[in-house]
Amino acid sequence: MSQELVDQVSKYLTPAIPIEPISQGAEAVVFTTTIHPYLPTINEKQKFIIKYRPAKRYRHPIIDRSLTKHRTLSESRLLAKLYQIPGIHVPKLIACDPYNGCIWLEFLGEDLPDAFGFSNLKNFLWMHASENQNPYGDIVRETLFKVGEQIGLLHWNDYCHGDLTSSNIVLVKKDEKWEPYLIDFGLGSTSNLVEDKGVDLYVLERAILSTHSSYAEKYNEWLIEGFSEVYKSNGKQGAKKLNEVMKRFGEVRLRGRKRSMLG
Amino acid sequence: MVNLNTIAPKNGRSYYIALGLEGSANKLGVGVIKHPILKEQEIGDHSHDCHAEILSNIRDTYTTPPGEGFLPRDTARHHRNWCVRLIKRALKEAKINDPRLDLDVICFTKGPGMGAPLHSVVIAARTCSLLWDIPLVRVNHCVGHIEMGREITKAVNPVVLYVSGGNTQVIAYSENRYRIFGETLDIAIGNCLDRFARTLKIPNAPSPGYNIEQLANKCKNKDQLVELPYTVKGMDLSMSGILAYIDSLAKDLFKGNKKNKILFDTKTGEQKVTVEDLCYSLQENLFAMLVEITERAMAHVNTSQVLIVGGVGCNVRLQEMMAQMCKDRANGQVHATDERFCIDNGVMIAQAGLLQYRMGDVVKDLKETIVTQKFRTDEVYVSWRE
Amino acid sequence: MTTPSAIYKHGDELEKHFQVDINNARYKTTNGSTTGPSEHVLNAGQIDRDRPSDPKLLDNTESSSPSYTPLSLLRMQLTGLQDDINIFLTERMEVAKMKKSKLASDAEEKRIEEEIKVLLDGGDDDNSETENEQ
Repeated sequence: MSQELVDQVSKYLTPAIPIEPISQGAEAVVFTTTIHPYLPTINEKQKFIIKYRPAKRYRHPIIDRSLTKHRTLSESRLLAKLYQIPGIHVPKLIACDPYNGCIWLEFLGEDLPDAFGFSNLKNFLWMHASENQNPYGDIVRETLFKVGEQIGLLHWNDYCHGDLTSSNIVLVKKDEKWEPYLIDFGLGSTSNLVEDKGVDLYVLERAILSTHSSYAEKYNEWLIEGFSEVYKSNGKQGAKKLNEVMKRFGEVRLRGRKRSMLG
Repeated sequence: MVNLNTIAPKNGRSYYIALGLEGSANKLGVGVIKHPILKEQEIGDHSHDCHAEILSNIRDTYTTPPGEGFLPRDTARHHRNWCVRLIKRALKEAKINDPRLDLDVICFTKGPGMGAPLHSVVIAARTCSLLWDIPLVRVNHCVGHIEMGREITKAVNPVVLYVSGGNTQVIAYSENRYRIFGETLDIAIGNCLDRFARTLKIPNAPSPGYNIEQLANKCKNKDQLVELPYTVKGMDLSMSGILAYIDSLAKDLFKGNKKNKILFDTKTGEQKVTVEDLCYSLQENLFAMLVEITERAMAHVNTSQVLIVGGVGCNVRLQEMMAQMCKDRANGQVHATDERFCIDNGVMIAQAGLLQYRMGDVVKDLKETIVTQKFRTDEVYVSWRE
Repeated sequence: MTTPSAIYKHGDELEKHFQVDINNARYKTTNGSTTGPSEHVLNAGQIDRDRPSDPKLLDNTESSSPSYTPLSLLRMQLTGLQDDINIFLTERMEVAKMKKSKLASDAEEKRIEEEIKVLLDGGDDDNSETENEQ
């Protein structure tokens, strides 16, 4: 992360809020801080996430302002709504400043052992694909099934994520098991369209295929198993809707294959 | 371990020479390339640094009157009737007197592309191969772009943004394949620009979007933008909605539809937006989307290099925006090539084909030389990289 | 000198041979009747700069009875042969299209017939409906 960027954020947050950069995604930079934006400090070890969308100088200021505001606001709205839905796991929203592209969230996850990095799904899968590990172990299967369930719940409630990748799923350890949390709703939306859901699944399938190529087939199968389970538990109507979503998913995939028509 | 020197050059020479034939769309390209034998290439991946020497690079474009697209049968006819002339010129310029003795391999585009033009060129390739008794190699068009870009820019392992008349893809290498991370969900960027150019009745030569770029440069009011849909979906994007919308704006502008309050002041009837403004807004919007998905892919695979290839890659504004994005990421580097290599050409087919040839991938039977309209980038096994 | 030839086969039912008649004018030009630019672009104002080159004459030929290089002879014969094949294949395509649309209209006629039959039978009877479905 460039120092310029860190300075920019520090200036906006004022020196009263110390920040520790943890990652730079394409769209946002993520920091941790020990200060809550409006509650007193209860314990020294408390940690919060600050997600900051810096201005992108490559794009026209009008596009940039509108995107930053729109995405910060819509991410906050979605998180607030999703947090209330039973079964769906998302980080808790603490504060939001759409004009400056900044939101505060509860801190989730931990560091994986043996320097495999932060406990997102990507690092988790890479860890299990490394030497002396079993990429198809029960723990992997169970976790991917749960990830599928989370996405199923999201779609069942007519929400779409818009950017499903293995980096956008954080795993939180509870009683030696991993609970997946969906993060990064900047491209998310409320939608009851099968098309949006089909595209969502297609984006995820391709992300798995390109990031975890050697094991992608099984991984995607387990994800879909978990996804389907949510729909199937909703009786006849669930099964009908699942059928529609899966059918469209197949069509979107086919379109994808047809796309490379011309050189 | 990759060893690029497993197949010895012809007649005990210390270098390879390849002829490349490309004709998957409206451009017919013939190129000749030379690779010296390098010791270090026996012990590792140096496929981005072959010390390639371009002996000739000749291209002829099938053009149609402004406002018209190109039909497969006319494009195929163009390739058919120019192919021999171009091959002769390319060989002469490369000082190849006897192709029988001097050429190691003939490389042709297997796909993706338009069927009829691909057919025209592969027939020429087969004929030359039989006539001169030289092996054939079939090349994926997109892989040709990538390998040429890597050789010219020496980018070792970049995220590749491939933008042309028929393709819009964000690609990164992993485990012997060029994997597609993001791509258009409907039409290609070059197609989108070309179709808008057709609406404006401006020509679409020499490369997709070139004339839109020229008009956009003339926009006098760059502080303002006509708001267009911004349709990024994860690492994918969609452009048909944007095209339909801006097309309708252009048509209203030409008709002088004063009711359109985006284009005209509803009280005075004064025109607020020009054709140049539309071109400028379209570019700003589309390119912002492209740069965004490229940055997403970079973050995802954790690399700092970008390589832009394909005809739209010549666009200076796109290169500028990409460079700015890279500058704002730590140690980012952007690599682009000029129109000689960005636009479809024969040398790129020769470059990728020669890499394949040096790894022992040659056609064993003419039955294997069938061309195909659909041929995804990730279908190719990239044996020449680690 | 041998001339090029072609064979078209469709299963066992059809085998068509294409031969060059060296005296026929259609095998003495490099400008084929079916290999020109399409009407569509010509109407849009296209200037044709993609014509095939003219056949090459032998060095010491007389203009009264020109003789061509062997390759140019072959090119001319192939141009005529290609025309023959194109015309033949276009006809076959037309026939196939006709058959298809005939089939479609047959099905349409049958559907209307059925409907009328149902109406005449009263049509509101459950039994007749299932019968028709079968």
